[in-house]
Amino acid sequence: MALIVIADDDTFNCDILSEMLRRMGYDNIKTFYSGKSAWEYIQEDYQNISVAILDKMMPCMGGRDIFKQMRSDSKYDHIPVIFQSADACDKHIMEDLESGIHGYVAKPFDPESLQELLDKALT
Amino acid sequence: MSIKERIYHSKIKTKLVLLTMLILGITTLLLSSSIMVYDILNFKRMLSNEITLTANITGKRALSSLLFQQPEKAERDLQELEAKSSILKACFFDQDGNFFAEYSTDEALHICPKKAPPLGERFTFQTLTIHQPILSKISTTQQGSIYVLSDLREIYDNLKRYFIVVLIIMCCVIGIGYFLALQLQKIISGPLEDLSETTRIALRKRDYSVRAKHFYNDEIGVLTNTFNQFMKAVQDGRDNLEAKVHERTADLEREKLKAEQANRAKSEFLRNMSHEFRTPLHAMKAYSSFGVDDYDTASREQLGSYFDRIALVTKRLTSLVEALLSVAQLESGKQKFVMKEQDLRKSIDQVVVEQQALINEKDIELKLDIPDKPLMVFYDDGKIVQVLVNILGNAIKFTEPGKKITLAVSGAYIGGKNRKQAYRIEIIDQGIGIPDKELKKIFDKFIQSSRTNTGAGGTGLGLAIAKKMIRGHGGRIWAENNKNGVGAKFTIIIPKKQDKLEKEVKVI
Repeated sequence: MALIVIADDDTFNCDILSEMLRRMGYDNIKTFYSGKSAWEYIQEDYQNISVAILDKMMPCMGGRDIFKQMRSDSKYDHIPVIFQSADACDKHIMEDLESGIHGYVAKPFDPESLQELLDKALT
Repeated sequence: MSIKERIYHSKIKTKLVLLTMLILGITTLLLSSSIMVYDILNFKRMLSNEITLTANITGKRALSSLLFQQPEKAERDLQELEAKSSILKACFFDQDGNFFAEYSTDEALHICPKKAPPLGERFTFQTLTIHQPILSKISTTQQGSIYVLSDLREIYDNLKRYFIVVLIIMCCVIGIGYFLALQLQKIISGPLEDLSETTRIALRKRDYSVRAKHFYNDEIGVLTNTFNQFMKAVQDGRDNLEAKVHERTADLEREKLKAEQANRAKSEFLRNMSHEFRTPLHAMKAYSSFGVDDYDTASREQLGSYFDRIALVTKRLTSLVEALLSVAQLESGKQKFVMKEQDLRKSIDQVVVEQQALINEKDIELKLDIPDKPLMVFYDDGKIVQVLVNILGNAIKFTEPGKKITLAVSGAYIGGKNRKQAYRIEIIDQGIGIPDKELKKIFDKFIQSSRTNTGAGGTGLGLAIAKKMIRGHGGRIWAENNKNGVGAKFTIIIPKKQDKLEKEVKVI
């Protein structure tokens, strides 16, 4: 079963995301309320992680910072990273996509668009 | 162009030389001609004296011939006049005035009047005639008369010589005069030429730093000085103008930069606002879709929890809209402050209770260091709560789970001379801190700490509003980084008493 790591400093949002994923049929979800704790977990259990859905902007360590760390070591290359953010600025989305992330969902987003990205990431 | 005009338009140098030559010429001419006239007159007198004398001598010599009626002898006597070449003709008349004897150099002039003409001396254009009586030695009675006709050849010869001398003198005078005038006119035209050349250069090159050379303290010297002063004034004026233009340009640049900054800040603000709206909207959308999906299968409690959450984010949205509205309101006008004496601890309690959920969620330790007695202060409850929520909220937002936040209240004073009793509220976090150069700026409208970009969101107005609110109370608020390098400290000082219990303050 695919292991999905999600991180968002907004606990409310985290709950929504995990509920959404459960409804799509993913039960193996690790939830983190800060970028730092998520990064610590990724470093430990990277072999088993199938995909990471990260909030792009979190205090101290945002999704961008985590992604940068992951790309500096090839052992994380197999983990696709999806950003979720309230930042819907086209320019910023393009920048992020060009940096090599797997996908980007801007809040408020439909479960379908997330599903699509996950399907691609997990095959 | 006529000669007159040509002279008028000629150079000063030419004019000066011409003027000198003219004066010199006229003077020499007048002088020479007056000397000449005087000399001619003198010569005439001398000639007449000489002829008269000659006539007298000849007359005396011929006295006996006259007395004894011997015309041949008288003619011989007259022949003596040959020595005087200018005498053309001479005649003797007897006592009765009848022709007696004659002498002539030219046959053609061989006509003497039969009767004696009147006595005396007569000048014509070319001749001088003298008719002189011949007196006897003893009785002084007239024995006859002598008539002499002389030409003026000698005078004209003299005149001719004179004319040549005058011509030579004039040529010399004019030559020397021209040379001297040419040299001496430089005293006048030199400074003028220099001045006029300088003005031409200044005009052509637009160079106001050139100065005319000062020669003498005459009118031209004064003109030169005046011109130089004028040029200096123009130059100074221009330099000043340039400096002013530079200054103005710099001012405009600064203003432009400010306007651009304000514009960027506003865009940033709008972007942040859109973020802030998107998150609760996302929650509403998600929970309502969960509810719709599960409508038939979920329990009442489950559906209820969705509705609760929708209600919660609705509240969050509402407060966001209110914040926006209050920003608009703050921007447009004044806020009313109503000061009531109340216990500051109550408001702090209220803030802590409001933030408790967040504190628990992040597993943050909140340490309260508040005196265990009523802290009676005159203040506007709503405004102070708003400020404390903002600052405590920031502290929570930027502090990692498991870390500590301290909220301390202590007695203090505010103001220099008329210092007043006050309370100090300190909120100390262990978060990411604030870059030193931004410590003041973060209280400006639409300015957020650069570290906020890591993702905490916010409107960029909270601290700006907080500052105005505290100022409205006559208090102070500032931020600093903790000495140990971990986290930031916000300090608020609020006076216990207020001068006015109600006032309107322009907040932003």
